[in-house]
Amino acid sequence: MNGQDRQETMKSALDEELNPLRFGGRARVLERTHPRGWRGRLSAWWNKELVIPVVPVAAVVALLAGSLLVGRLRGMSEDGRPGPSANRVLVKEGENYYWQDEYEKAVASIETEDSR
Amino acid sequence: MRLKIRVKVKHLVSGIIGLGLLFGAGAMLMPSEANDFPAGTASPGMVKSELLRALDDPKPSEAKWKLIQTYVLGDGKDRLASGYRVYVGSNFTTSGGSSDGIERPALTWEEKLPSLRDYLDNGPAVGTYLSQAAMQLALYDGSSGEPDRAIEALETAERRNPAGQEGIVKQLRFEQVKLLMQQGEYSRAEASLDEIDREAGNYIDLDGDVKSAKLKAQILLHQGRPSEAQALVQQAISNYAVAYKKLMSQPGDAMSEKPAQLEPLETLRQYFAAMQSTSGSYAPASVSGTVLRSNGEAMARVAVFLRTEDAVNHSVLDTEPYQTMTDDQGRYTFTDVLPGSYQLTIGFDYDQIDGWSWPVGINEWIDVDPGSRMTIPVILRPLIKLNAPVNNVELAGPRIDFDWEPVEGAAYYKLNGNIQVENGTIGVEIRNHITGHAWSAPVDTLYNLASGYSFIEVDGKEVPDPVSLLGFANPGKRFSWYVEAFDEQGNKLSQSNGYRLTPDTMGELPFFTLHDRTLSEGDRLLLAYRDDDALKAYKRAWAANPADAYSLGMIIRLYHSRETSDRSARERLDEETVPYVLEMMKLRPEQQYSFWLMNQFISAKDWSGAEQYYELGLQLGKDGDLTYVQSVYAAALMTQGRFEEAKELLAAVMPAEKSHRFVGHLLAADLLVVGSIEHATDLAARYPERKSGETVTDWSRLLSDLSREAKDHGSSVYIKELKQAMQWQYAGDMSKLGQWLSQPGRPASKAFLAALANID
Repeated sequence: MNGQDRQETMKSALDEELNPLRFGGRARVLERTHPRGWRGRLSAWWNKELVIPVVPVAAVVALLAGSLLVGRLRGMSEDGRPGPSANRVLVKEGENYYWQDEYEKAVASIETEDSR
Repeated sequence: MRLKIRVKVKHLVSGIIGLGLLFGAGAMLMPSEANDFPAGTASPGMVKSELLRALDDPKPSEAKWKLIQTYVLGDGKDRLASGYRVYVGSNFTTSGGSSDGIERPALTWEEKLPSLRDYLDNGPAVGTYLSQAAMQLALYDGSSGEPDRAIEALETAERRNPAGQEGIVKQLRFEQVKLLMQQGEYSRAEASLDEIDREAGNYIDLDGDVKSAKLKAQILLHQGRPSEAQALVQQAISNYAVAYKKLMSQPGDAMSEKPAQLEPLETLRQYFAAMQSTSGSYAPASVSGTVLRSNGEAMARVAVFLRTEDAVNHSVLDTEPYQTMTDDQGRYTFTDVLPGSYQLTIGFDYDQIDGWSWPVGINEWIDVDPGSRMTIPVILRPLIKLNAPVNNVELAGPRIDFDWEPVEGAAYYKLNGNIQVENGTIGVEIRNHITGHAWSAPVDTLYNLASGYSFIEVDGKEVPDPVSLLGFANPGKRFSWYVEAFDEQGNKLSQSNGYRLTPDTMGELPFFTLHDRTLSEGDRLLLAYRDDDALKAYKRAWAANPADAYSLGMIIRLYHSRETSDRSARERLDEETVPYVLEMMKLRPEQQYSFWLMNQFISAKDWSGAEQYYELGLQLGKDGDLTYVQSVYAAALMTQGRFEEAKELLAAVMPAEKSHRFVGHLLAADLLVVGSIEHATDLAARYPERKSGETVTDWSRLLSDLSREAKDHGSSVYIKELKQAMQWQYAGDMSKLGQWLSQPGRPASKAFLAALANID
């Protein structure tokens, strides 16, 4: 038996064994390799693999978390204005009592009006 | 080697979301400020909504109890004398932050009650928290007409309180006794007090002893047993003296106990003494009323104090006998009130007083007669709205126009200015008795106003602060102003200055600057602390222009300020000042100069000069309050031996001059003219002397001693001699007076003469 014959024999044996199997996933494979439509594209993006360098990314995350913590510890809030219960200072100006922060805001608003 | 992670987008995204959730939760629980609070509890900066949500959690947990301890129990509302932010009284207003420095979200009683009741029943019995919860509930329930519930709360705390805290238990019992007395259950209260005494150990508890004695005396008085009450008070005071001495010998403890805690007993002792000397009735009275805003809104849960004469000159103390909280209708009631003179003080939280004022006048006394039922309403008024000049406006014109919103029922207004100096502010009355709600004047009216002087240290030397001397004549300096409104009887109705804490209540800022004038040479030297040179410059300016009232006024002001700093040179300085003031009276006659001259002539015993400037001053100041000047002039009439005129003048002044500081002269004049101790005694009772800050002379007592002494000596001879001694004293005939005083006996006469000599 020469090499050609052996190949032929193997092929026919393989054909015989694989005969009941039919490949039906062509469409799905094509969809995955060459996605069409938003669903397909989204799914492809969703399953995309990223390679993330550990050191720089970990450093950035640590920095972010740290600054968040510090900000919280300093009692900063979104609008930069203390809440109704934060430690406020009462000041006496012109025989009136004001919360210092409200008073300073009022004075500042007079000054901006004046400079207009 | 470079570390790399291979990860799908979907895993990365879900990881980030997961981490975010974890951090978010952590951050919410984490304290937002460095503090002593254990992890898991909230921070002092916690906002109200967060707090309420956390308190609303039905599940009991360590963290929740901690929250209640810090935010609900820790707000200090178990003690009326310290749990409020602002205390407004007749003679002064005090204001301060929370006692532990933590500003908490202000919770209403309705918001606090569930937590209070929960803690009392289930919270951990550590520290003083249980008693704090019970005391708060007792105050609330007691003032809400539910004394039984209040007593129950106190009993629960006592039951749940761990052993070994006798002090706390004692305090809870005292509160129960007070509640029982409020309900009229005097025998139960008495039994409870006896039990407290029985269980008291050997340790010294001055506070407790005073409280117990005071409550027992009140019960005895209520039962009509005044002599027993008096004996008990005497005994308690001497016991206190012994215990106090013992305590003072133990260093460390001594500082915490102050004799001010003895005041309730001292008041009782004085009361008994007064009753005995006038043989008056012992029947206790009641004082009640309602605290309202002028729009009808009830001021629920404000603190009300009825304060004795001894107490009104210090801040409100825990030991004061009459303190309560208003109910939801703003009502308050004090029962078992000893007859005597009192003032009301009201405790407010910031949100209760913000934008409002309680216009109580100085020396507003409540005279409680035996057995009387008095009703004293308390009405808060909105702060007066200021229109102009405001918001740092720069005024350069020759006139100044003040304008404010009218107040209903106001007969007149008083306009006041303030000048900021290095060590505080100097108040200046700009104008009184303004009938409209505006006042306009040439701006130099302000320049010529005399203000008080403050002193500052320059190169180690005390000198008058030039800013205070210049007053409004200081171009570019920021000044502030406020108005007060009065009714026809002179009762204060409202004011523009007060608590303006929110953008809604803040109103216009009451500041302005004046730019109409430029500094003179004298002013510039004054501001450079060269006041000798400044005085010379002002004198030069006035010599150059005799119509320059400003420079003349500054010369007088500089002389006056030197008098304040160098009292030894007073006579010499006065002599130097007189010619300038006389010139000023020609140039710009004003009441202040007129009365200053009157005083100079009185000192010099130049009676016609005194009379001339007295009459002139009355004309110049006919709208103002002249009672002080009239009293001084009446005293001068006494010195001249014109007793009938003095008596008439003093009798006219006395009803309007509420401090009655010159009543002694009236009594002397009455004795000299009418010659009856009984008649003078009636006057003394009608016009009790009320001086604030200093010792007060009890003229009624002096007169009752006189009356007793007179009976021993034979009245007519006794009074004749007393009159003679008084005449010598007023005339300054010291040799005859000294001779008379050196004779033995007649201590009551001598005490009366000494008191007369001390009137000022």
